[in-house]
Amino acid sequence: MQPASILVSNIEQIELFLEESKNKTETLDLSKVFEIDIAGVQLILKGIPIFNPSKSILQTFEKLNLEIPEQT
Amino acid sequence: MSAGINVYIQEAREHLEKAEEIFLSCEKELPSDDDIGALFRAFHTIKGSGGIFELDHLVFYTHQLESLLAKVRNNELELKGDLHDALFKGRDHLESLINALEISEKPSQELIDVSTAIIKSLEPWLGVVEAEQSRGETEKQTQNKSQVWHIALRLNPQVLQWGMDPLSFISCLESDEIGIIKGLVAIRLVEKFEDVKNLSLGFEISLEASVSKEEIVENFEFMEDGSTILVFSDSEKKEKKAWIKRCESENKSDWKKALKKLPSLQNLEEKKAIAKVKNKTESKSVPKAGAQIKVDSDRLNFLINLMGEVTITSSMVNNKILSSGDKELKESYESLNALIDEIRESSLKLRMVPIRSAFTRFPRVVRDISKKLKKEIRLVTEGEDTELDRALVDKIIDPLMHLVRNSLDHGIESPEKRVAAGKSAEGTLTLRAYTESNSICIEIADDGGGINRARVLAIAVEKGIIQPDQKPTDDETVNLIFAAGFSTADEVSDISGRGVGMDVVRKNIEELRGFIQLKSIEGEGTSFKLFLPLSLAIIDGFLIRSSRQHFVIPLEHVEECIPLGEEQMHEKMINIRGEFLPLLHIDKKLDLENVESTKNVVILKIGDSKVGVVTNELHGEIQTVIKPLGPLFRHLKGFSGTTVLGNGELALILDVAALAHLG
Repeated sequence: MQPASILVSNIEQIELFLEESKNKTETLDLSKVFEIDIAGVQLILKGIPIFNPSKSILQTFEKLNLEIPEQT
Repeated sequence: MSAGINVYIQEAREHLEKAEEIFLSCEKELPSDDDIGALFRAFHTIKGSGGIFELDHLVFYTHQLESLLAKVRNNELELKGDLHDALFKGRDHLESLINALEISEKPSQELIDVSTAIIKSLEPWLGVVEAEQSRGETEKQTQNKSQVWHIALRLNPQVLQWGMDPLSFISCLESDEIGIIKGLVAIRLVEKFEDVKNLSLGFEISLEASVSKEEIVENFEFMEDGSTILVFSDSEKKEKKAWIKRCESENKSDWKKALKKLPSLQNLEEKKAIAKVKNKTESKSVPKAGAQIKVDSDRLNFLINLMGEVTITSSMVNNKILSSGDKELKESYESLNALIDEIRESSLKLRMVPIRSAFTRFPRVVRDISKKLKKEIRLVTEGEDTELDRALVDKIIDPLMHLVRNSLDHGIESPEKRVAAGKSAEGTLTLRAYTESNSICIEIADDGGGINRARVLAIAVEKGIIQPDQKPTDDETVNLIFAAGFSTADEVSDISGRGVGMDVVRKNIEELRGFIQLKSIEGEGTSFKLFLPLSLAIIDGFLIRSSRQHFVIPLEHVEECIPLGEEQMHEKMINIRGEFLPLLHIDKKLDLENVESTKNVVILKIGDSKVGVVTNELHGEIQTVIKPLGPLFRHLKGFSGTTVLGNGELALILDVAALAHLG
């Protein structure tokens, strides 16, 4: 599944992603995400393991005055 | 009239209703701060939304009332005495202006003159008010001036599931050239983002714009349901403080950012405000999902009509299944039918509203009329939560108003007469609603002088309603007041007494498949009971057959069914466990040729009285849709409509109250 499509307004896809990612340990590369909506913002705030957030993600978080949670 | 203005009128009426309630309660005691706040908001919203439709005169007029209420809110004035009366009068005129919108968006000169006179009467408190034109221009200039607005969004958590992204709506503020976003801070409303399907972020925005508040709110109109969308200007310090206070429990660090970064929150006692923002880490409050959704009544009617058709079709399918003798199919159908019943009940409930909405207008009516008549009258309302069909609520208001006015005018005596009769000077009018079997009963009772039988008889003879030699029973005598053209009023007044009232009241109630019961004790008072069906659209009925014709009796009237012995077949009365009841032979009544020997009696209860309907066959319960009689047959008494049976045959729905009356 491409992260780019996960983070754009699709609750069903988010649910599917969460279900599928339950047993995954690897982090997600979000460098190619070109657009992010509030559901996507909340997904990142939830603390899904990510790396390389795209410029679009960084700008959205900056615009909202929010910080991306530190990755553990 | 546009749909938008229609919604505006409805909403304005709701605000005015609330305002009336508060003004009335203020007559007894000084209003609380909450009451004053609610009054202010009511007028403020009417003015603000009026601006969207460019109702300049209405906006100008409401602005004056609002300004005066602002002074009350700031404790510069007290809402009592002359000021209370002037503002109350102002509210009433605002209602006239709103009502006039149904005809034209431009008020008549007559209405404008009244507005001018009312504004003039407010000058002792308000100071000299500039003329409307110059004031309007000043307001427009102010409106066009660019200013910083603060927008606070606590949206319905479900907006994401509705497929809406709040971020794109916020971006529209700029892309639609409403204004320029000077700052945006997202506020986390929960500590942990577990459920990403629900929105758990709030938004605080600073917007520089030269548009009105309403135009900004309009940008978020698709997300309004169950959401809190606040917009206030930099100068509205009170609103700002109240909002921050309300958000005390939200994330402290996010709020610190908001107070620091948003220009619209700068002119505030910042430190104080930050100190108030508590550092709470437990789960934060998220705005509740919308408890109510406004739906166009036409859509509901369409749904209910469709349900009606489903009911008929389902009945047809049932007939086919029964004749096929297929057991499995029958079982499946029963499950389906149970679901259809549930959907039908649920869709009917959608139109049910508490009768409170009809009762709320009466405190004002009682107040005004008792003042006018110099009577002391206390209104007691009971059972306001009783629910009935919205369509019924609209249709019973006029008859109720008539009965209330009659009780006030003719029923309750003057304080002097009451005291002389050994009663308290203050009379009581009671409006009571309750459910009785499958009907709604609305009772209008007064503790007045009751109906003077001798006077009623004299007037009935004088007006030719009865012959001088007729000797009606006590019940028939009091019911003469429902005769056309009857009036006991000595003088024709503007409150009642034109003699065109009570017959129209009864006709209106009967048209709704209801009936009126009247009880009156001389010297003690009068009570009118209006019995109405729960719904106008679908009926729980009892199917009978007389000769070759099927009839449906509303189930709420059916008490019991018994076979009729051969010896009783032509009797006019029947003895049911010692109680003698009149028998109504439908075949004879309707001149139907009937050669069958099997006969049954359905015992019906109509208010306090009972009647037995003689018929051939009993088919049992049926749920069906009422189709109104066509214009050609509408004058026929004894039938309230028709329905289509499962086999496609038409059945007449009996109006039992009218039939019993005819018998």
